[in-house]
Amino acid sequence: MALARSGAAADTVARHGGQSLTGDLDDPARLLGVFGTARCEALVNLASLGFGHAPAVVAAIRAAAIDRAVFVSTTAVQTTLPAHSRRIRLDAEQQIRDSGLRWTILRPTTIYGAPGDRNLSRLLLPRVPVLPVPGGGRHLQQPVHVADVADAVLSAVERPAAASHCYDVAGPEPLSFTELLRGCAREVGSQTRLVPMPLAPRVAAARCYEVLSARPRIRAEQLQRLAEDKAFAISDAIRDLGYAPPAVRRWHPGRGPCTRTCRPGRVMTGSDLALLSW
Amino acid sequence: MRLLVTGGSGFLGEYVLTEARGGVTRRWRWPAAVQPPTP
Repeated sequence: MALARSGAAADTVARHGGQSLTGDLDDPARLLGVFGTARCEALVNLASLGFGHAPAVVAAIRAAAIDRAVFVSTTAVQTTLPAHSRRIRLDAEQQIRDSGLRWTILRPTTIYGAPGDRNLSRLLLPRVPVLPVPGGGRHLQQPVHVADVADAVLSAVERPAAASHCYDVAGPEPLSFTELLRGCAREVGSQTRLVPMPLAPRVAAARCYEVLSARPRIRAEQLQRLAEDKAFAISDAIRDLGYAPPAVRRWHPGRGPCTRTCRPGRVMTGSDLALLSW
Repeated sequence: MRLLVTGGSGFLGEYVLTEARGGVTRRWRWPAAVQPPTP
């Protein structure tokens, strides 16, 4: 069962075999009644915690006598940058911890794996001859495939040991941004030349773009985050959730690709990385 | 277990809904320029 705030959203839910429940997180008073009609045993909150909805959601599920809840947050709360939504997200996480529910918080890294992921897919195009790499590309990234996040969400719901815990949900290992881009380029048969460039001018340009654009497709903060190492330990998720993201193919310059171990039935290739978005 | 899902209008929601019903989400989507891996 899924909350849907529009007819189109309800259609999407139905298309994936779910039942829709009409409601809107921006309407907390109505949410109380809506959740009460759901007759569900657990909540999976995929909605962003960055919009201040957490108190309303917590109140609604408590009123509906649902005491198990899994909330998807983000590793971005661990940034050292003064990101606008960081405080809101951290406050939301604290409200969840204090809620009295049997809660689990999952913090995925950059999620990729579908054309709509809004990440690296926008940067890496097969026929781009030159790709500037702001900041030089030496900092680490650890993106996670959408299917692995979905696995972690559902495992968390099912496993009592996951209650009252927060887990980072990342890919199997960190890679430098340059490693990711080179691997992607190779897999899509691209001769793209990566050109390291200083970060500061791009950040300044992005700030101007943000001011001028009504709906900026990239923000200065996203570029600044390229100068942060985004490597996260997944050992807790492995232990408690049975989390097992397949290893990515590693690229060793001059030696060709080397495929590492994968979970049965699941093979991740560099082509997956081509779907990475920003 | 009966789940109530909020948010996830994007691809994560699709994956969670499908997997929650016991469906298979290991169906990779590829951009036109990229061939899928050999099973």
